[in-house]
Amino acid sequence: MLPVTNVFPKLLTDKLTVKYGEKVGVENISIKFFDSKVTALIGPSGCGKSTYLRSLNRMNDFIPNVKITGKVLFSGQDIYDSSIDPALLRRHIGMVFQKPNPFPKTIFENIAWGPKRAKFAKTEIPQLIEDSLRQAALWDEVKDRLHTSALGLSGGQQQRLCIARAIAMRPSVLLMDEPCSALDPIATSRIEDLIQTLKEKYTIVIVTHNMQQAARVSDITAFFLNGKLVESGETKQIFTLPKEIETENYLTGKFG
Amino acid sequence: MKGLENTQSFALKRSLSSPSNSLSENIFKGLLYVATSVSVVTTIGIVVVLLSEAIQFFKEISFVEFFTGTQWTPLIEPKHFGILPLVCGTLLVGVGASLIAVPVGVASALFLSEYVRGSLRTILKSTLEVLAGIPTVVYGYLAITFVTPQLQQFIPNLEVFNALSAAIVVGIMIIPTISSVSQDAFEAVPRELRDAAYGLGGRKHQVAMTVVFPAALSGFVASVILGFSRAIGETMAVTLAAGSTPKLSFNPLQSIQTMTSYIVQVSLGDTPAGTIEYRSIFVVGLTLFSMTLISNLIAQWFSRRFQERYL
Amino acid sequence: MQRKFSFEALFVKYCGVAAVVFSLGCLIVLLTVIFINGIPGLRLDFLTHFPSRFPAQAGIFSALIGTFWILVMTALFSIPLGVMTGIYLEELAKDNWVKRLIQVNIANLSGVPSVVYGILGLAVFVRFLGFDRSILSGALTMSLLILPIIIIATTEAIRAVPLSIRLAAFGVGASPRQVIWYHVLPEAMPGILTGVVLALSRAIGESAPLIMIGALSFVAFVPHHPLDSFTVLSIQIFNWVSRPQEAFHALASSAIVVLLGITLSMNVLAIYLRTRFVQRRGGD
Repeated sequence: MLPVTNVFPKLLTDKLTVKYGEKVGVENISIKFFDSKVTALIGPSGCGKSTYLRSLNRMNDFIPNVKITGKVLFSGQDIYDSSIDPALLRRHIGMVFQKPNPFPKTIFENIAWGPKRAKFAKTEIPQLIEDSLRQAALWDEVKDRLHTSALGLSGGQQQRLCIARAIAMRPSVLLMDEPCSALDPIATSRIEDLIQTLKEKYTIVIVTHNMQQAARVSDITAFFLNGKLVESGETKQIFTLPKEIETENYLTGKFG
Repeated sequence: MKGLENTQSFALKRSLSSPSNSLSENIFKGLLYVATSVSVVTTIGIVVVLLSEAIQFFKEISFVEFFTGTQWTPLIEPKHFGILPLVCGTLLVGVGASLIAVPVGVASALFLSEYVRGSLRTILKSTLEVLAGIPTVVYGYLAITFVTPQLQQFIPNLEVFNALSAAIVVGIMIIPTISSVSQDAFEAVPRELRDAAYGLGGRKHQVAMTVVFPAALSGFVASVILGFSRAIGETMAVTLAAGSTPKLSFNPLQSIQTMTSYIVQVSLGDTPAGTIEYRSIFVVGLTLFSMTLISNLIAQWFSRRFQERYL
Repeated sequence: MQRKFSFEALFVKYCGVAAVVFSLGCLIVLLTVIFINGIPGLRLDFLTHFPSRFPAQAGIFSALIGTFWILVMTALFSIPLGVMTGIYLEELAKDNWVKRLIQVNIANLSGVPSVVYGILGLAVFVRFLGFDRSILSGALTMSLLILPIIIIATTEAIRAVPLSIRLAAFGVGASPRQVIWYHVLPEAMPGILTGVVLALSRAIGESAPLIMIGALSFVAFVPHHPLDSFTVLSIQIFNWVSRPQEAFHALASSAIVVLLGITLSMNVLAIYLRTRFVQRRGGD
């Protein structure tokens, strides 16, 4: 038994099941996510880890016929309750996507757009942009061309811009859906470093198909297989002493 | 679930100031609903308007006379209301136009999709589409002032107003409809199918004729029906060129009358509402509307069949 | 390896060449005939005079002004309605039978003959609503006629906007309206504009529906008000062509040069917008 502490999960799912029509995406998943921790969701492709991630800030709403049962609690509130405005929710639970997807606008506008819609004070925005870009380790590279198109940046820079865009909303949770899968190794290692510094301020959930990456960046790991959660726990324990045979098979490369 | 409440709280509830629920959001959605309903109301309007006058019409004229009568003389005594001559004239122009437009349209579509690449293809396709962008009254002018006089040199007994030149200009007008819809269908045939045929040593014309064309057959059929439906609904060119003498005859050298040109003829005169002549344009309109609607539904069925297979 | 000569191969290829040459030939002949007959009569007087029983004095002034009125008012009604319907269908409508029914309905409306829209306009706008034979009736009828073209162009343009842009915007907490207004519409704008320009050029060339609602063909005054009666270029042309005298045919060809000048330049503008749009998409 873990000692009872004063640490409550920022976000948790309780017996969460996501279905597309009749097809089950994930089934009966219960995980808790804590402040200042990076949680990695790993598993072979098609195991439902991205589906699960998108259900944490209701990005699944845009998929037709999606059906959700079970609960997702964010700071104690059920995010699928009809009284919740999903747009407000997403301001607190930001997301970084698999492929860099900057708006076809300037670098400045990319970051400023969200805060403007959320009615952040106008005078605050230039500082906010600098802070976000600094946190995303992009400031020095783009400070002289803030008003040029974001599409002129390299893939790795675009992805860091997307991270800056997400953290400019001052979210408390950051969801990352295979953020490095479209990037080269150098860009990948920069983003991994970035995750380490960001975790001081945010609850981070990252989906990755790369086990080494999960081992490097995460504190807690959850292993998904065929839409089910096989096991979750401290990353060190999962990678050294997995409890389940499926986890061990996956980690030793027997399948996946 | 005890003890899971977090001390930090976030305002996530919907309210009049929350983004997805604000007043501007709801006004925006409301406007979209209203706008969309206009197209639905339009269809209902067409059906109601045509039917309500048609019902009045059929109180005076029997179905049998209307559908089997061989004379259409609503404006002169003795009045006859048999629609067959108008249908006949309409079909004469529609079929004649298709005889020109189908071979030309499908041959250029196959040529553009299989033999021409890159920007030349775009340029040629756009240029052909100009034919469809020319106002129909211009085609009518050409039929009268150019096509008919030229044809009369070869066909001395061609009347001044005749179905032939109307069919020719309407045929030219619908070439782009047929070629562009067919071309889209040919281009949508998957590459792998072509590659497989080339891999077996097929040559370009063999691949085009035995692989691409059969694969896109239902798309091609859809284009022909759409073109035909446009031809029978065509108004101005036919009104100017084909004349206004309804005849139950398939001789293209004579003056005839189509359903559309009858409708225009009546509305050019000052026919008071409520008379049988006034109502007759609604009945003819209803007949035309039904014919084009059925054609369009069939064309959609074919093109959906094509899309389900390949897209 | 040398290719064997094949008659069949040449035949298939040259049938295609012949078809394209035939179509282009028709276009060239058509334009040549019109320009040869029409250019001589195209003087400044022709543009500034009212129609007349005497061919030498007749002009298209009132028709030009009428065409302009119809163009502006049709744009005013049809663009917002068409674009909003397109947005609804692509962005908000749930994928169910209602949406499919509306889509089938719009596809069918785009195939309804223009003269049937004329009958609708006559019964509803002219008689039932009492707008009489006015510009308003004409513009409303024309708007319904071109609405399907604008809707279809809008839905296609919106469908081409990548999903990733929408997700990015939703991801920072935007509402559906904000995503559409700030991201989807600006990206879809070139495609929408192409469709709008093509639709409006169709409205300028159409005459059957306006004849149905009784647009006068002899208008010797300039309309000042949406409820004034009017004529347009295409009706003026119809009127002149249907007279037997050669002199009026010559007037018709001059008027056609003006009409074609307007509609063809709109077509060229639309094609330009579309190719620019395609290039930009391809270049991303």
